[in-house]
Amino acid sequence: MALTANCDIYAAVNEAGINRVVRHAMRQRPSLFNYGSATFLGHPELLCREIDAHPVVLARGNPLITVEPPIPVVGTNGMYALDFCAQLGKAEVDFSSGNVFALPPELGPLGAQRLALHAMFCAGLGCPPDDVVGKLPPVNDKGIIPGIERTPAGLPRPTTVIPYQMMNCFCLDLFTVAGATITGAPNQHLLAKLFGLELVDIKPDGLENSIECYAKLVLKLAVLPKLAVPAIKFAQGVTGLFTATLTPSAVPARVPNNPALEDDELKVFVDLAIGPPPAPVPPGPPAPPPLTGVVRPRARAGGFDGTVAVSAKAVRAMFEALRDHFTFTKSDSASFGPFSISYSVAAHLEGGTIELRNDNTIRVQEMDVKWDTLRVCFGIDIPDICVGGFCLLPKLWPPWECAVEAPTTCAFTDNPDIAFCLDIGGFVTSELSATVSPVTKYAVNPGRMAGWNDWDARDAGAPNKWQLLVDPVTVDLDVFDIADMAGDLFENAVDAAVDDLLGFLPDWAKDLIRSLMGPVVDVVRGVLDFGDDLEEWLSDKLGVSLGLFNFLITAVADYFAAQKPLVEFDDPVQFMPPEGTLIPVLIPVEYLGVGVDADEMTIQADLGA
Amino acid sequence: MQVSFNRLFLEQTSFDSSAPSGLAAVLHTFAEAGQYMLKFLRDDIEFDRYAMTVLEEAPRPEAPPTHVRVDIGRLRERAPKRQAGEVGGHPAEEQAREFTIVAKGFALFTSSRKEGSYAILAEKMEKRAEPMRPESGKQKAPAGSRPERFDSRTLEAADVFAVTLIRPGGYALTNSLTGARGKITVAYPTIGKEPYRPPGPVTVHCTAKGFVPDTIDLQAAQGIIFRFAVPSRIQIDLVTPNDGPRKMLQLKTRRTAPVPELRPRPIARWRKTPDGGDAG
Repeated sequence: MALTANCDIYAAVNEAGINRVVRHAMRQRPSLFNYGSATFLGHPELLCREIDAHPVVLARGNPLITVEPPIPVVGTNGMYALDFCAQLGKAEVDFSSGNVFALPPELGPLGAQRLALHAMFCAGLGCPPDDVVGKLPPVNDKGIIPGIERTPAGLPRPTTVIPYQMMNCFCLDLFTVAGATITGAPNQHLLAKLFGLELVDIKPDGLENSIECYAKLVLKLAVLPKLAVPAIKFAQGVTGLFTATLTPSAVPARVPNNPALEDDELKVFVDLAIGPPPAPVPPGPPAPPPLTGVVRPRARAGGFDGTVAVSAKAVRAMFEALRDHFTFTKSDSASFGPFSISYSVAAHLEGGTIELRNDNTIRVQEMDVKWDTLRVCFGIDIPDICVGGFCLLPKLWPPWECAVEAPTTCAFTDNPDIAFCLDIGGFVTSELSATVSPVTKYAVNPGRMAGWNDWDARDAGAPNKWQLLVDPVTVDLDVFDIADMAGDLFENAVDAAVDDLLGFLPDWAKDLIRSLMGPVVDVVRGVLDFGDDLEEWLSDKLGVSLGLFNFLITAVADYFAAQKPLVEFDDPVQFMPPEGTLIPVLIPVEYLGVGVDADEMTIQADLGA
Repeated sequence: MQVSFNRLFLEQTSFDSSAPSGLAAVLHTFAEAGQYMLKFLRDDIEFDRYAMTVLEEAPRPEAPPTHVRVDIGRLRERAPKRQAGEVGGHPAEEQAREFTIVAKGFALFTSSRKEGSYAILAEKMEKRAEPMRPESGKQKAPAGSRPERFDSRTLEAADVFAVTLIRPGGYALTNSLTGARGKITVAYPTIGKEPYRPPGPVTVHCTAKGFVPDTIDLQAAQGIIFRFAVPSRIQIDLVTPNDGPRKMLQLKTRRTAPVPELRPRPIARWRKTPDGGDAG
């Protein structure tokens, strides 16, 4: 069954992909997962759990922990405190049917439409030895150390962190079971819903229950809301061409579960509505030319980390929006000896059908090319029309040649003699069809220097790119007809041009010249050499000699893809933005693929390890 | 863009064989070899001159031309301006102002510029001509020998006058030396489905009895060639212009009620009627 059988857009993320993202975040932003007193800032080796930080974190001097105040010794009025650390050592998710980790008996097994979270927390306290404690000045009844409550400079005495010899560490495994829901209409959020939580191996039960209670509150009130995927329903202007309004597909009318937690994936089903484009924004500086990419094959087998499928109906709606914003303008001219042609055109597209096919192509058929302007101008060198010049004396030999001719005078000795224009946009019937094949390419940024890491390249504005392009397999423009009316227009224009040219002459002289010319259109027909079929000739000249139709085809191909990627994003993609001196969390995209069948277009991605 | 039609040709309605211009020309045959002086006169006063050498037939491998076209209008257009009454000039200039043809060759005289009334005189010189003085009428040949001489005011058997009348209408034809008269009618051009090609020229003979024929019907832009059995000077003047059917229609329209604009009749018309129904 098609992924989009009951929706317009289907999106799924695999638990493996999410766990990869978590691992990247923990390595690149360790301070988000590791807390402790200042002592550990310079001595991370003293932490309960070694931090596997990304080398760039260390190279750029990012902290490994977030510094928190030491834990005060109760009753010392803050005079004494102990070093401590708390670390999230591991975090992973498991979607139904549950195969990443085993749940404790209290929670397991994982039910249908459920997800499980496993987090391993490690914490420790720097407990000082007795001999050290024995040397510490005692605190009096007022909670101060007599005589040394202030520094020699008169400032309040800072807290003394009591030295220790070794950390007393422990680790807890926290398991939770949750569901997922879409809530918060009209701007829905994808939200996890907690069903159960279990801390393993804590005794006595009262302590365990208390900690679990506290952990649940933290999860429900703090963590899960922050993890909500915002705005499932939203309206997004897409490259100024249309507004895509996404709403979750209705349950159970359209789909049984939305989101669905099954097959080791989180699946979301969305319906799409295409609307008019948002108000145009002033154009910014011109974008740099797109990078040239190459097809990159997939390096692993099995399921993808992420999948997005767009139904044929949605593709059609997006295509129509794209089509409606296509415009084409062009002007050109060429000389053909006794005549010249210039043209200026403006066109747009209407109608047509789109069909997704099982051979990984999309067929767009019979789009009407509407010529808003199709102005063709001619400059024609009419053969000289002469009077006089009859033979006064033939040659002796050969006698059919003339030795002396009477004086003569000629008209139409300029080049061109006449110029006129035709507006034939309304008389040209043409259709455009195209077969395109979506393709993904990976472009290595040529501005990226050797030895740069991904963060260096990002800072220099030279990241590599993943591109989603539409490769035009064929683009056909069929000019079916240039209506006969164009021929009439042509004759009238020629007549008018000659009338205008001869306008200064007395009527008898005009008539004499027209008499000598014969039907003007015949003269012009002879010059242009179009025989009886102006329409075919015009089509040939515009399409072949002047290349107008090729320009149009190229414009369409460029517009619908070829040189400009439909979608382009950096690799690695930014997952968390930089904060102060903290580097951004970047997630490498190992593979991006696209395919088409008769039902939908599917985009699949693998994240890098 | 414009039609480079010489306005002289359009506006010229009078032709004089003495002063061929526009679509008129005089052709003279130089029978004898020798040195000639071509003079152009206006009111019997020379206003330009050129040397003409008539060579024996083909003495050189590079034979001189058998005919030459002398367009006084164009020659004067190109020549340096002179003071009034000044003739001749620097030898180098004289050299450039020389025509050469073979004996029994032809000179075609015309002017593509409006020159008004003028005459052409060609006289054979026994020796190199001295600088000439302004002419006063016709010259007489020495007694006993009559060197070859051409005078456009008196065309003779060795001459041909050709003209193409393009303005439709009726013309008066006169031989001012014999008093003969004739009539020429030039038809109004007809615009047909095929390009019109004027028929060949009509030849008119100037005899002691007059023009033969003396009534000439010409098609539009058809030429006439005059040949001479008696000394002649041909004058042709437009008497009755023919402005063609368009003019006639305009005149007629002016006298009649305005013609209503022709509109195609609709095939069907639907109109909303006051009672709300539709009527076809």
